[in-house]
Amino acid sequence: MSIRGQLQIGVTTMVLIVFIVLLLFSLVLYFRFTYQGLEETKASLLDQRYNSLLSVIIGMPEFRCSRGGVESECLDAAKLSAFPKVYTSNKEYYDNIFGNVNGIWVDVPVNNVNNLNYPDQGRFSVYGKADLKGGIYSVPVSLYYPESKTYKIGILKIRGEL
Amino acid sequence: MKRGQAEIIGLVVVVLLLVFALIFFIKVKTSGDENESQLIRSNLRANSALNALMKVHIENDDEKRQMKDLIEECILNSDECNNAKIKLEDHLDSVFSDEKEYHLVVSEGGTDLFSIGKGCKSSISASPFIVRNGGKVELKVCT
Repeated sequence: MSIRGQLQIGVTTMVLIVFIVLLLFSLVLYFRFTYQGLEETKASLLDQRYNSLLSVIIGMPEFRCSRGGVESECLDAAKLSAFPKVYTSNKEYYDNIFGNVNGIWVDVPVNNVNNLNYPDQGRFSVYGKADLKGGIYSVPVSLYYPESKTYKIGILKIRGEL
Repeated sequence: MKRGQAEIIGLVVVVLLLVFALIFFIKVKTSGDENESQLIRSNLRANSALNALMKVHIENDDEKRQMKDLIEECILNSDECNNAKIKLEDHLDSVFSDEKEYHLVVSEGGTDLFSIGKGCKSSISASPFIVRNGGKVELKVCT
């Protein structure tokens, strides 16, 4: 074989190797970005879904506080405390509203989370359980205690899909 | 120049072009456009947090006053600002889990009286809370 022929075979082999390496690298990157994109879309959709649910819960008359018939931007702690009984008697209705979330509850940071006695209750369970698997979506809310006419800060939390 | 050398130079040029194209693609892909849902969620969070903060009752001996009353006092008498700042900081930390991912400014007629938290690279502002006597409370939540 002539020297020129050997050189051309060498160049062709090099071109092929470089091409294959670049192709593999590009494919890996492409699939990585596609996967990342899908994950971002999933997170964004879940965010929107649970954000809407948080807004719905804040606006529900079952929780919303009112004074003299005028609704205010807060949740009524007394209503939250009594809600488990309301839920038990209207299970199907609330299951439809809350969908397939694992748990909904309101934490009161200034109270002990283990205290179950109203009005010093540290956690108001609304739906499901707080300690199941999944991501937490939360929003700070104003809690109104009608008997003392005072406000505290609570954190409305949803445990849903991650 | 021999033909072999010319082909190698051509190959190097093609490889360089592909590498630049790849770098450009990665840069464009990772520069990240603003996530709209995150903005909406942060907006709800910021507005709700500021509303809850201004309404919360602060117990001082037998006296119960709301946070907005403390801020009003701070506007009327700047010696009271430290008290309002401490109480605000306590509640903000409980809301934002000590991460300082917020920036709250209390101002009067365009002059800042005090601020809490650090400034953030990108943030969502809550609608300002207007206090009597020309006071304004603004909260930004970092995204």
